[in-house]
This record gives sequence, C-alpha cells and structure tokens, in this order.
Amino acid sequence: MYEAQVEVRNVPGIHARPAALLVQAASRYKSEVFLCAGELTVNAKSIMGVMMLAAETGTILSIRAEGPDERDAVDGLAAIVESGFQES
Amino acid sequence: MTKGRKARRILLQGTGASAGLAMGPAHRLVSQEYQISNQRVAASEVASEIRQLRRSFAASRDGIRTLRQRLKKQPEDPVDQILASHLMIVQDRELVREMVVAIKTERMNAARAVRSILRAKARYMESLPSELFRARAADIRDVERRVLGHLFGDETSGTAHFPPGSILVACEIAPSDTAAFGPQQVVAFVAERGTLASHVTIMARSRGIPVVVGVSDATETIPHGEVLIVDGERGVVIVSPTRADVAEYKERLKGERRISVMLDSSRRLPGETLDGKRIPVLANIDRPGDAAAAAHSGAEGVGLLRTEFVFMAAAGFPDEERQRRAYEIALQAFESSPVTIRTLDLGGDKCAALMGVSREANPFLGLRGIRFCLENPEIFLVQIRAILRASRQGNARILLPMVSNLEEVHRARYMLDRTAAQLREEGLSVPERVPLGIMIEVPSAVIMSDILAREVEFFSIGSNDLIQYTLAVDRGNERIAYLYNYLDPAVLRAIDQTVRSAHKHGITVGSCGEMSGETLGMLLLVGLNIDELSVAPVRVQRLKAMLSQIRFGDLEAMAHRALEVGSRGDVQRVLRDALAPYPQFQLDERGEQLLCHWRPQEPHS
Repeated sequence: MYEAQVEVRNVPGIHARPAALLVQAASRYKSEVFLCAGELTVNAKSIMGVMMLAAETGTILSIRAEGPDERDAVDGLAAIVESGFQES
Repeated sequence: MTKGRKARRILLQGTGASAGLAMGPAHRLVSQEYQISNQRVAASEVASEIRQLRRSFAASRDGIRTLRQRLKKQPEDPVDQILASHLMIVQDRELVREMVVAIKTERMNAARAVRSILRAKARYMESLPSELFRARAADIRDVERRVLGHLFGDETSGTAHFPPGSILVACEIAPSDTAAFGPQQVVAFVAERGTLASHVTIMARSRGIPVVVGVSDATETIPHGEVLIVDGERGVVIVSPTRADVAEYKERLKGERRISVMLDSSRRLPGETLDGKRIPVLANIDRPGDAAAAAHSGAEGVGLLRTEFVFMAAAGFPDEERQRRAYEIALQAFESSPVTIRTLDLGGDKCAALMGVSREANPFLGLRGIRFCLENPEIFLVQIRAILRASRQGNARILLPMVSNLEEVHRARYMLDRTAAQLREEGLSVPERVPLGIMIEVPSAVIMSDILAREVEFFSIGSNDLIQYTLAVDRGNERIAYLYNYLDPAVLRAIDQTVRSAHKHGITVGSCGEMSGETLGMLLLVGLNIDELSVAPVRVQRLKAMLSQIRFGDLEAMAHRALEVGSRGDVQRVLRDALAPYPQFQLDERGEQLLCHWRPQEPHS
C-alpha cells in the first residue's frame, strides 16, 4: 500500500469537473485507489464517491492505493490535485 | 383551465430567478412516485433483480447518450455538461456494486436498492454547507428518477409531453428536464425549490425563459391546467388572473413588442442625444458567449464582462488557456470596440455560496472584489495572464472591482506590468498598454477619486454597491429597503464628484449598475456628464432610442438643480419639472418610488 497527502488548492474545491477528472485519471490504474478526507473514505474510481467527499478548498486529502501500480496511481492523482486541476 | 366554478385569483410571491413575462396553462410536474415494495426478494429472485438493475443502468446510459446526440450541444454548453455528469453517475461501477450488495445481502428488490442508496446520497449532499455541493443533490435525484423509470418500464420518464406554451410547476425542476424541453414548449418555470445558482435557472436565463423559484407549496396551490401569469423579474406568479391582470399583461407584452419592432430599426445608430452629445451604449454580459448577441443588439462594446462565470458550477475554475479562449470569444465579437473585462468579483453575497469559504459576519464589508484577488494571487495572476494574452484579439480593458484605496491600485498595476513583462520574455506579444480601470462603488473611492483618477485609465461607477455603501442600506432588508434609491441627493453628489475627478484628469467614466438601465437613472447619469452607459443587452436599443429623443442640455440643467437640493422629495420635484416638456417620459409615483415610463413616439412618416 502506498499513500500520500495533498491539499486541495483549487477554488472552490473538488466539485463537478475536478471530480470527473480525478475519476477518469484513477480509472486508468489497475490498483484500488481511495481518497480520504476527514472521516470519509471513498473509492477514487467512483464519481458518486468523489462527489460525496465534497472536498472544498483547503481540505487535506489522503490518496491511498493498493495494487501493482499503486505508486504511479498515488503520484498521478496527487499531481492533478496539486496542479489545481489544470488540464494539460 | 377550470370550467364551471370560477377559480379564485391567488398571488404567489417567490424569487425571480430569470427575467421575463409569460402567460399560459400550468403543467404540474408531479415527480412520479413509484410504489416500491419493501418485501424481501426470494433467494431465487436475486439474480434476476441484479440483471434488471444492470439493464436499467445500461438503458439510462443509452438514454442520456441519445439525448446528448439529439441536442448536439457544444461541450461548453451547461446542458451538455449536466448530461455528461449524469452519464458518469450511471456508469459508476462502484455505485452499481453497492446496489448489488444491497440486493444480495439485504434481499432488496432492484428498485428499492436504487431508491434507498441514491436517496441517502442525495440527502447527504443536501446537508453540506456549500451551495455548490448541495446543488448536486438535484443531479442525484434526477438520476434516481431516470433509473427507476427504466426499471418500471416507463420509457418516457424525464421527457414528459405537455401542451406547447405551458408553464411548468414543480417541486424542483430536474436538470435533465430542461434539456428535453424545447423553447417553444415551456414558456416559464415555477418551482418550490431552487436557487439563483441552480442549473435550471442558469439555463433558463441563457434562453430568456422566465423562472420564479422559492414559491412554497406551488404544487399544492396551483391547480393543473389553471392559467398563470409569471413575472420573472418581480418573482410574482398570478394564479387564475382576473381580466384586469390579463389586460395589464397583454398591455405590457404588447408594449414590449411594439417597442422592440420600432427599436430594431434604430439598432445600428450610435448612442447620441437629440442635441448631438455622443454617449456610447455598451452591454453588461455574464458570459463571453453572449457577446455576439450583444453586438447584434447594437451594443457599442462591453462595459462590463463579469468573469464569475469561471466559477459556474459545471465548469470549475478554468486554467489560463480556457480563460484566454473565453475572453477571445468576447473580444472577437466586438472587433475594435472596447470589451471591459472585470477581474473576479467574488465576495459579499456571491462568495460564501460559491466558494464555501468561511462565512464572514459581514460579507459586504469583508474579503471581496479586489481584496480577494490580491489575497489569492494564484487566481488573479492566471486571470491577468489570460486577459493579456487574449487582448491581441481586440480592444480589451481591465476593470478592478471594489477598489477602496490607492495601494490596491498600485499592487494590481504592479502585478499587471510584471505579468506583461513576463509574457514578453516568454516571446508572446502583448499590446503596449491595456487600459486599467477601477469600479467606483465604495465611498472611500469617491472621496479619493481625484487621486485615483491619476493612476488609472478609466472609472466605472457601480451604482448598486455605491448606493448601498453610501446610504448604509441593505436593500435585502425589507424594513429599510425604501431608503435604497438612486434619487437620494447623496448618491447624486457622489456620482458628480466622481465624474468631476475623472474629467479633471482626462479619463472617462462609465456606469454599469442597474441605475444606468432605468429610465430616470439613465437620464440623471447623462445629465451628470457620464461618458458611457453599460446595460443588459436587452436594454441597449431602448436606451439609444431614449437618448435620441432628449436634449443633453436639458438633462445637464436638471442634474445641476438636483445637486442643489437636500432631499429625495426635492430631487423628484426637480425631475418632474425638467421632464414636463417631454411627453414621452411619463412620471408615475408609486409609494416611495418615482418611476418613469417611456412611451416612444412613433417615427414620423
């Protein structure tokens, strides 16, 4: 298992489009990927889960993955969150 | 329309969420409440329930895809973005797995699994403090309805048929409903729930369909098929209107149509008074996509491009490229005419809801406008870069909101210059100078306007806030709202001082608040020597036509006298006298309000 913490910096947080971007990115990895904020842990490949997370700006997010490409998955998602969800 | 028994006239007050006037039969959208059994399914039925569940999700997915294809929307269109987000939800494997588990372990039938799991999620979203996240609950309920519709074999779910010209009345209008409704079918929306930020109202505004939200018990009070008059501007719904109501409605509508036919011919004329004083009439727009329509309606530029659209629910905060493209669309629509881009004006009422930032005890005196931008340079700099890069495509001006002191101008100017230098270092071409202006909407900016005028290229008076701050009146507070009025001599003096400071230093001053769109307000602003007016696109032609029928000399004299009197009542008397020679400007006193109706003279044949 591999885990990293990032801060949600984009304003206003992980709502519609950012949530969709995260789910699309997470779905590219074989590993199970989870996001935790506060007491809530959700599956990063589930749009419903990520929506429920309702992570606003300033939220500290834990990204956790387990599987063959767990490191890549965590680093990949962390980079997206840290970039403020810039599409590039 | 009820026959026999005469229905009683009822006046319902809600919140006007999208302007416009409409009359038609009420079509009550009763959300189909499917009867779902609580019986545990037999072990032998589990597999079949799961199959049905998966089939209904697949059917929902196909339904949304078909709808998207049929509508052929651009990816930036809010309708398409909503449908895209619904598509993601029905393709959520984790969600289906959760339902499968409920069927297997709790022996729920498929419908019950769908409802109980989605309702719980919708309820959770609704409990969140941020309006932006709360709004997603409507999407979840929408998806629930769609999936259940397929489970119950109700193929028409979500695309109900109703008589053309009807007014939809619902608890809540589902986002995907609006996609299926052609503009000819629904003439207005009335809803119990919903806010100015909800998808439905945003879409309705973009299509010019009147919407009134927050009408409590609308679905109980309004009988199906009963005639309604909906006034999206005042937030009023008249159920079973009297003959007098209908006459007034028709009169207003006819007036609007007659004027619009007459105005259409004068669309290409520049804004100019009867005695030849040139006053460009520009448009206020909320989204770059509206620029072309504004240009078509005769706007001589954009006096205010609000950029809060970048925070719109479905879009998220866009990066530099996206913003640049958006600004370019507006600039290209106007070619060489100015397009004034106001940097993010969050805060006050807009902030808490959209951003989920900590609520301030006094948001109108808090972190808003330029204060927010300077506090969040990572947002501000991206926006400035995008504007500067787009500015080659036309005649861009940058407008800073809520400036209250000189340092703010200095800091913004510094960031602007540095960004321009950086872009040039990167080898990108940036115009020599993009004009920088400030909103004058705080008393301290008025008081310091002679100093501020030396530091910027233009002023823009934001009358809404200027009135509120000058008179210390919250117009949302019903008990003191009567005090909020641009006819107050203190407001007129503040505007006068601003204009004088600007002209002393040779810069222009425009006005982009609601005052510029109202007849009396506009006449006063012109008399006070304002250089340009900026109003909603729908008012551009009207304003030009009004200007062409009145002498600047008379308005200037009127404004001078208004600056010498001490009370609002005296100002009203001054206006009455000054406008007496103009029969087309009719004054009408309603309580505390002095209104001016413009009845255009037909052009002489």
